[in-house]
Amino acid sequence: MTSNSTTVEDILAQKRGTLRDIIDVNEKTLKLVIFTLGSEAYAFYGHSISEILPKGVPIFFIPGCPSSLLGVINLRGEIESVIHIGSVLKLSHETSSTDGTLLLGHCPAMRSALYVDNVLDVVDVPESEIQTPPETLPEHLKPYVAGLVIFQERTITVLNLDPLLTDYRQGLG
Amino acid sequence: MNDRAGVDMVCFTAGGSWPIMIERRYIARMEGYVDRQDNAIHSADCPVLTIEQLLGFSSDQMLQKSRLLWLKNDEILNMGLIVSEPVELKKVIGETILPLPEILAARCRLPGLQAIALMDDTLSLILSPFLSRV
Repeated sequence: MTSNSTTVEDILAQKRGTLRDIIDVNEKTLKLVIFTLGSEAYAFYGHSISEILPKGVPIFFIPGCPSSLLGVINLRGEIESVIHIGSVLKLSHETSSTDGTLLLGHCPAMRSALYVDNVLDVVDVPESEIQTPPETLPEHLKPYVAGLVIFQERTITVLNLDPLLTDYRQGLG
Repeated sequence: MNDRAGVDMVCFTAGGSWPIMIERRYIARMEGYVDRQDNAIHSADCPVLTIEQLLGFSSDQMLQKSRLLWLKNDEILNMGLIVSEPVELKKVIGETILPLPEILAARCRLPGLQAIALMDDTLSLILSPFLSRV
């Protein structure tokens, strides 16, 4: 019999690792709607987004609004406001305001269309994969960032829509 | 209330492009063509503004002929409003009159903006001239 460098411990360790890699089907998953603002990727929880609207929905400008409130849209005979998320979050990088995508977002108190640059994906991620936001996060973003998640080797900032809309109604942005 | 019921609206544009509606019940009378520079119309007992001034637009649109709408509140003559022709009276059915989305209502500072009318994919701003929006 020839010696073999593999040990039982190695095999067990490998199997333990494999077991760790198996997704716990009982673990709660969260749906995320991932989108871009400029070069950065963000996400809202799927439960706060009821619809992704097709590109090209005309936005009617309404005078007297802050620049972050792009106007309103006619959504099947209902009027919805349109908020430019990049402006609300005071993101310094360039974001477009003409060729983006609209998400229809809602929280218990209100709803609004949300202007983002592009929708990348809608995915389910295990709750445990959402990491606590770093302490280095800019102060003005802290109330709205629920966490970070890695998706396709990219860091996604998960946003909490409820406080964002609530604060926006009261004068944020 | 029947959604097909109509509301008489006086319709015109402001700033050259914004379709505006004001309920007919607020209009005491309409005077013929007026010269916006005519001091005589500004010496009346109540203030006379152009619609652009009322809405806080940066510049007056010195467009075609203008009309002077005398607005009343509780049957008291309250304000003169100079608007550009054409000025039309339309019956707007209730189902086309939509409330302001909550965020728009909270953040828009357009004086008097009360609702939006949506007809044939055209959006009009319904103003209640005596509604304060601060």
